Amino acid sequence: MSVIHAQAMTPHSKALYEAGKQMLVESISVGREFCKFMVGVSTGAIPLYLALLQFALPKDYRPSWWWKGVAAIAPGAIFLVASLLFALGVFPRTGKFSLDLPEEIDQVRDHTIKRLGNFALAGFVCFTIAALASIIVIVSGLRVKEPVKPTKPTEIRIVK
Amino acid sequence: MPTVSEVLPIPKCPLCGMSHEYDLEVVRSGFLNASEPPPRTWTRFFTCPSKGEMFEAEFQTSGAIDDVRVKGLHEDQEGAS
Repeated sequence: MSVIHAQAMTPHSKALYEAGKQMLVESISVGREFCKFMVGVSTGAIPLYLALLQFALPKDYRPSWWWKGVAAIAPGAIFLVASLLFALGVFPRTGKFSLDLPEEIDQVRDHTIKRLGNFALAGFVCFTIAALASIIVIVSGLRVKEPVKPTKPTEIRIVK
Repeated sequence: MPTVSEVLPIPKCPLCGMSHEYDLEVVRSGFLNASEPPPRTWTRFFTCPSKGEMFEAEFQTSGAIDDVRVKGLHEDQEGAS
């Protein structure tokens, strides 16, 4: 192993180092903030979806088949699952590490980032599926025709 | 992956002009090659113990190496600085 040359850090290297340092320090908080934000978005999507569904479906609509009812509820339920996954991502965990052991800090940090990443990804997949499903359900709801109301029988009076 | 510790001497620090030695963690490749791989060049940041500032150094390694990490100043140097 031999040194070719050594020099003071160039401005570009300094900027790269600072960027790396920022990424290292903020890697946990960025994931946490994303999960926190998505908990609000996912839970907020449930009433929004139900309101849009109510608007799309005709008044006094009753699904003719049980699976139609399940399909109408499914996006809301998936939004709920997504918000639970995001909430699990920011759920506080207990653990201990020593500040004297950089390897231990690194290990805990890596584990936390991986855990956050997994929950964020799973939550985002659920959120995307729920969003797509809600679009399909609402568009289908707009196509449902209002049930034909029984017309009042015409009254005929026979005058003798 | 097998890791080994190696010492990298820097004969002339660009910040203070003194010589320093640093401990490196060398990650050797798990694959055995029939032919010797060509020498590889690495650039890493080091901290000058005298100035407390960072500098960059380019060094060359031989053999199949996947990664080189700077662990810090070599133990003998820590007391000297």
